[in-house]
Amino acid sequence: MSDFESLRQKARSKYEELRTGQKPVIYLGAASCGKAAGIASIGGKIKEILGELGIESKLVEVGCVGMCCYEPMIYIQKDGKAPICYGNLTTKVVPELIKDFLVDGDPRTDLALGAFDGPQTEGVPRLFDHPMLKPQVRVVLRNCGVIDPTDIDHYLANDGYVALQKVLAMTPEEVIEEVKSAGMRGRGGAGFSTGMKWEFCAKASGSPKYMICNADEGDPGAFMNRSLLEGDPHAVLEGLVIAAYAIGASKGYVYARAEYPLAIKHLNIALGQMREINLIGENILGSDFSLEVIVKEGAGAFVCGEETALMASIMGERGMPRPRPPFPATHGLWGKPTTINNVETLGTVATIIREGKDWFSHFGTEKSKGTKTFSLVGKVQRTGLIEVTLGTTLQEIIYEIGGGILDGKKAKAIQTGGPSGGCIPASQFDLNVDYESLTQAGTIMGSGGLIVMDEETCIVDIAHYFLTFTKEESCGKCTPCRIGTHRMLDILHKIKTGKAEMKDLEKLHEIAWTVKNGSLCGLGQTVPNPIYTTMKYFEDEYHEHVEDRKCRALVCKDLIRYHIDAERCIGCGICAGKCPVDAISGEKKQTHVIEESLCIKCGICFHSCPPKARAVEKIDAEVGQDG
Amino acid sequence: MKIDGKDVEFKEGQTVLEVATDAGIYIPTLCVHKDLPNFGACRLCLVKIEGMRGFPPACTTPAKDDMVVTTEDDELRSIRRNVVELLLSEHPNACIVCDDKKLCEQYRACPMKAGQITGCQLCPNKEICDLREVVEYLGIDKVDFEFEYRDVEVERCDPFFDRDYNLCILCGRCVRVCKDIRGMGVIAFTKRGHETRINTSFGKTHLEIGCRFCGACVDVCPTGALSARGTKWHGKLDSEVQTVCGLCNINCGIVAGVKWGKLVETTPDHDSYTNGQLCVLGRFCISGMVNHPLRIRYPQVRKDDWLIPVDWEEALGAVVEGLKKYEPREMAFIISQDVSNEAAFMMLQLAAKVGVEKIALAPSSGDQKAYDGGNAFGVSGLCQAAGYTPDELMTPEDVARMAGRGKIKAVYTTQDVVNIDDAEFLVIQDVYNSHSLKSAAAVLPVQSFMESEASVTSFDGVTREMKHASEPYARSRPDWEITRDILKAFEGQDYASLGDVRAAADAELAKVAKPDAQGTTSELNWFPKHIRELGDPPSKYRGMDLTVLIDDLRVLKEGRK
Ligand SMILES: Cc1cc2nc3c(=O)[nH]c(=O)nc-3n(C[C@H](O)[C@H](O)[C@H](O)COP(=O)(O)O)c2cc1C
Ligand code: SF4
Ligand code: SF4
Ligand code: SF4
Ligand code: FES
Repeated sequence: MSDFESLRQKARSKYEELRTGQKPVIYLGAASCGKAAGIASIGGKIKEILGELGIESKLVEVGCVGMCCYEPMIYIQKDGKAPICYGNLTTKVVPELIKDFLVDGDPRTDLALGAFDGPQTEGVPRLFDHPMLKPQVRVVLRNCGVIDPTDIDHYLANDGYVALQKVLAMTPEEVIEEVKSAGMRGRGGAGFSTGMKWEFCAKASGSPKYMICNADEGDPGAFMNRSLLEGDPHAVLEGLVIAAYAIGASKGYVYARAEYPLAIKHLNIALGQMREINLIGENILGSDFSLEVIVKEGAGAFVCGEETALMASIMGERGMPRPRPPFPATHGLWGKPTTINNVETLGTVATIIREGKDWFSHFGTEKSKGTKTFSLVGKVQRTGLIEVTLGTTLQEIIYEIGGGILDGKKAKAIQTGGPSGGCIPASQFDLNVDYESLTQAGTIMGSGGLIVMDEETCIVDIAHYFLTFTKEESCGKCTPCRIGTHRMLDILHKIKTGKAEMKDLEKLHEIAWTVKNGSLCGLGQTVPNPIYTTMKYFEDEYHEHVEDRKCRALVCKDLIRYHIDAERCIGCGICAGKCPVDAISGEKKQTHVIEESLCIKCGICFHSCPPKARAVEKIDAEVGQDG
Repeated sequence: MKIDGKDVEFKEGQTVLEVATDAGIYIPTLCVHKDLPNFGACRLCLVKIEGMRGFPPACTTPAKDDMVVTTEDDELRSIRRNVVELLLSEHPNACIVCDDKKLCEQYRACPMKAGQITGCQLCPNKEICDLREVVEYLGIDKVDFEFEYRDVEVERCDPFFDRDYNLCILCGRCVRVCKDIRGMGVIAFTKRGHETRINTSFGKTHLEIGCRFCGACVDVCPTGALSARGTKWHGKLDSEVQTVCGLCNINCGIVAGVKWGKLVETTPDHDSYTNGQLCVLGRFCISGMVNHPLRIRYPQVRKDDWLIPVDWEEALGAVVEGLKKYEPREMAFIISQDVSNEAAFMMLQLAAKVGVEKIALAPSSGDQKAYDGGNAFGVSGLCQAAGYTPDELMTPEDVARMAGRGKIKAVYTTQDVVNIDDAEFLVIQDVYNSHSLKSAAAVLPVQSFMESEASVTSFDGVTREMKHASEPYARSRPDWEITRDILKAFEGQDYASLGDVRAAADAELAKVAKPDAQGTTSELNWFPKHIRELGDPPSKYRGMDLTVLIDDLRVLKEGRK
C-alpha cells in the first residue's frame, strides 16, 4: 500500500470513529452565516452546560448546510446514531436541549429539523426529506456542513483527492476531454465550456502558466462561493490542482476577497495540510507534476471579479479591466498563459473526474449540465444556500425549496444573476433555470444570486437599487459605464420622485443601449440588464410613475404620504413621540394628525403605531389631496 | 483583411486601428496615443468585426487574416455620438453648443484668462484639442444632458503646470506616459465609479510625491486639464521650429514655439532621437530663461569705473586694444562647455593666432556626469583636436588662482567665473548679467542657443544643428561671430559665413575619436531611463544658476531637498 493509501485508511477510521463513537458529539454550524446568527454564544453556552452537567462531549465546528433561515444551528450525535439537526436555537433553549437529550435521552423531536444519513432515531424525520432540502441535489455542497473543513482527514475519508490520484495517472489531454465531454460550463457567470477554456490555455505557448481560482464574489447578497470555501475548501483546492495539471500550470492563486476572513483562514489551513502530505509542492504524490498555490487577498471591489481586472490586481496594479483579445489563455498574468475559474467550477471538477462524465451529465438539460448552487434570499419563507440540477424551474425553487413568499404575500418578481442580472416577473416563474433560458428571458445565470421580491417591492426602486450598486462599483475606466450609469441613475431618480417625463424613458433606453454595447467589460455590458428587464416586464409601472406620479407598491417616498385614520387612532401619542421632526400633533386620547408640510416621510410613525390600532396609513400622495 | 469593403494589407502585430489609419480610413479616437500602450477606455474607436461579439475597439484588437471590419454605420455612429455626449455632459461645453460658434471662431487666437473654464474659448488647450476634433467630426452641436460641472478645485499648488480635473476625460494618457514611458508612476486613477479621478496617491502634491516635472503628462493630455502654466495663454503660435536643447549634452529634440518673434514655449520633438521626451529644463525653463530680463542687453566697456553701453564696433575695438597690451603667456581663454562647436572652434583659432596657450574649460570636468554642459563633447573634442591633452587644459579655478597671483593678467571668458576679479583685463562674452561683470573691462552680449544657428556634438558623438528660432535679445550676437571679428582684428583668417566655420570645425572634430552611445540610445525609451538613473541635468547655463532665473525651478529644487 502506498503512503497515501495508508493515510487515507487512517483518515477513514478516524472519521468512522467520530461518527459511530459512543461519546456524544456536538456539531456547530460555524460558517460566517452561523457566526452572524450568534453561534459563538450558543457554543459558549453549550460548553458551560456540559461542564455543569459533567458530560464529556466532542465539539466540532462545521460549515453551513445551507439552511440559513434556521441559523444558529447545531447537530447532536449520540450513541453512534446519525447526528440530529436543531435550528433557530437560542441560549435559552440550548441548555434544556442538551440536558434533555444527553442526560435524559429525549431527542426533543419537537425541536429537531431532521437527522443526517446513518442510523436513525425514532420520531425524527430525515433531514434530507425536509421540504427545503428534498428537491435539492447535493454534488458541490456534499460535504458542506457535514465535515470539519479544517481537518483534511474528514475530506480524505469522504473520497477526497481520489480524483487527483486518478488525474495524475491520466494525460492532461484526457483530463480536458473528460471535463469537456461532461458538458461542464463555468459557474462564474458567462457559462463558457470549462474544458475548452483549459484546452486553449494548455495549447498556448509560453511558460510558466498560471491557474487562478476566482473567489472574489462581489455581488451583494451572494454567498455561494463563501460557503463552499468555508465548508469544504479542499474540494475547491482539489479542483484547482486538477485544473493546473490539465493546463500545465506551475503556480496557482486563489484570489479571495478580504471580506471573507474565515474562507481565507480555511484555505490557508487546507493548503498547509496539503503541503504536508505532498498534495501541492514538488512532485505531487510522486508524479513529475509540481505546483505552488497561494491565497491572494483582494481589495473587495466588485469589478476585481472580472478576470482581467483580477489579474491586474494580483500583479499589484489597480483592478481595472482591459479589452480582450488578447485573452488570458494566451496573455494572462505577467503576459503568460493563464486560466481563471470560479470557485464552484473548480469545486465541481473533482466530482466529475471521480464519478465520471456520464454520471455528471445525466444531471441538467441538454446544454446546461450538472448542478448549480444559488443563494436564495429576499421575501421567501426559507432563505439559504441551495443546490439544484440545472433546468429546475423558478417555481420549484421559490415555492418548494423557499416555501413561498413571506407573510403570505404575493410574489412579484425574482432577480437572477445579482446586480448584473435581470428581473423575471412572477408570471414567468415556470422558466427553467439554465444558461439558455435565462439569457432568452433577458437575464443571466451570473454566479447564482436569487433575490425574490413580493408585491410590496417597487420595480423602479429595484432598478435604482441595483444601478446604485453598479454605478459605485464601476472602475471608472470606460466612458459609457462611468458616466452612463450615473446618467441612468439620474433618470431613475427623476422617475422615483415623480419628476420624469415620457421622453426620459426613451433616453433611459438609449443610454442603456449605449452602456450595454459600448462598455469595455462585463460589468458595464450587464449594468443595463435590470433596467431592460424591468422596463420590459413592468412597463405599466414605469408609466404609472411618470404619467400618474404613482408608485403602486407605495415605496417611492415622493409619491406617497402618511396619514392617520381618524377612526382607528387611539390617541396613544406613540407616533408623535417618535416623529423626528415633530410633524404629529394631537392631545392624549384624541385623534392625531400629521402636518404634511413638515413630514419627511421617514415612516417611523407607520411602524410605531401599535398593532391594535394600525391607524397610520401609507397612501398614494395624490389620493384625497384635491377633493 | 477587409476594412469597409477595401482589401488592406497588414503587418503581424498591428491593431485594426493602425491598419485602418495606414489605409487612410479615419476612426475617431481619444485615449489612443502613438507613444503609449493601448488602453481601450474611451470607446470611440468601436467597430464591427464579422465573427466577433458586440463592438470591439479598433485600438486594441489585433488585426488577423480575413478579418472583415466595418468602421461606420448607424449603430456605430450612435454609440460614438452618445459616448461623446456623455463626456460633454461633464466637460465644459458652452462653446460647443453655442449658436455663434462659427462667428466666434476667428477670435480663437486671442488669449484670455479665466478662473474657471466654461468653454473652449477660455481653455488653454483650444488650439490642439482632440476632444473638439472628435466633436467636429461627429457634428455634435447639442448635448442632450443637463451639464454637470464637477466643481473640483483647480490644482495650482505645484510648479510649472496646473491641473484642472474639471476638464479631464479620464483617457488615462497621463497615467500611462508617467508609468510606462517615464517609469515614474506619479499619477494614477483613484476612487471608483463616477467619482473616478486622476490623482497622486494619498492626494499629495506632485512636489511631495517626487514628480520630475518632465511635462510628459501635459504633452499627451488631449484636453486642457493639464496645462503648462507659464505658456498656456499665448494662443495660436506664429511658427514652430524644430531644434535641439542646449542645456545638456543629450541635446533633446525640441520644437520651439514662436509668437511675435519671441520664444513662448518649448515642446518635445517627436521626430528626434529622444522620441518626444524632455526633462523639466527643456520642457519648462527655456522660454523663461531666453526672455529673462537678467540678460545682457548691450555691449559695454568700462570707462572711469563705470560699465557704459557702447556700440559693437567700439566694444570690439576696446577688446582688441586691451588684449594687445599683454604677452600671450599673461593671457587665458575660458571656453564654456555650453557654447557651440563653431564658437569653441573660433576661440581656439584666436588662441592659436594670438599665441595663447592657457585654455580652460568651464565648468571644470571634475565631478561632471556624462552629459553636463550643453556641448561638452564638442568643446572638449575640439580642444583635443587642437592638440590639448586633458591634462594640459586648465580649469576656471586655476585661472582665477593664477590671476590672483598676478601670473595671468588678461582673461577672455565665455561664461561667468567665480573669483576672477583680480584679472587686470577681463572680457566677458556671456548671456546673463553675473557677478563677474563688476570687474569686467568689456562685456559682449551673446545670443542663446534659441536665437542663433550653430551645431553641437551630443554625448552619442552625433553632431546636431541648432536653429534660429526666436529673434535675438536686444543687441546680442552669436558667439562665433564675435570671436571671428576679434580674430579678424588680429589679422587672422577671415571666415565669411557660419558654413565656413562649421566645415572647418567639423573637419577638426573628425580627427578625434567619437563617443559611442549606440547601446544606450537604441532602446525606445532610453532617454527617460537615462535621466531617471542619472538624475536631471544640472540647472546651469553658462555658469548661470537657472533657479535664479526661473522661480518654479527654484521651488522644485528646494522642495526636493
Ligand atoms: C464585473 C464582473 C464581476 C465578476 N465577478 C466574478 C466573481 O466574483 N466570481 C467569479 O467567479 N467570476 C466573476 N466574474 C466572471 C469572471 O470574469 C470570469 O468569467 C470567471 O471567473 C470565469 O470562471 P468560470 O469559467 O469558471 O465561470 C465577474 C465578471 C464581471 C464582468
Ligand atoms: S412619516 Fe416620519 S416625519 Fe412623517 S409623520 Fe410619520 S414619523 Fe413624522
Ligand atoms: S511631469 Fe512627468 S513625472 Fe510628473 S506626473 Fe507628469 S509625466 Fe509623471
Ligand atoms: S488629465 Fe488629460 S491625459 Fe490625464 S486622463 Fe485627464 S484628459 Fe487624459
Ligand atoms: S481609442 Fe480605442 S477605446 Fe479609446
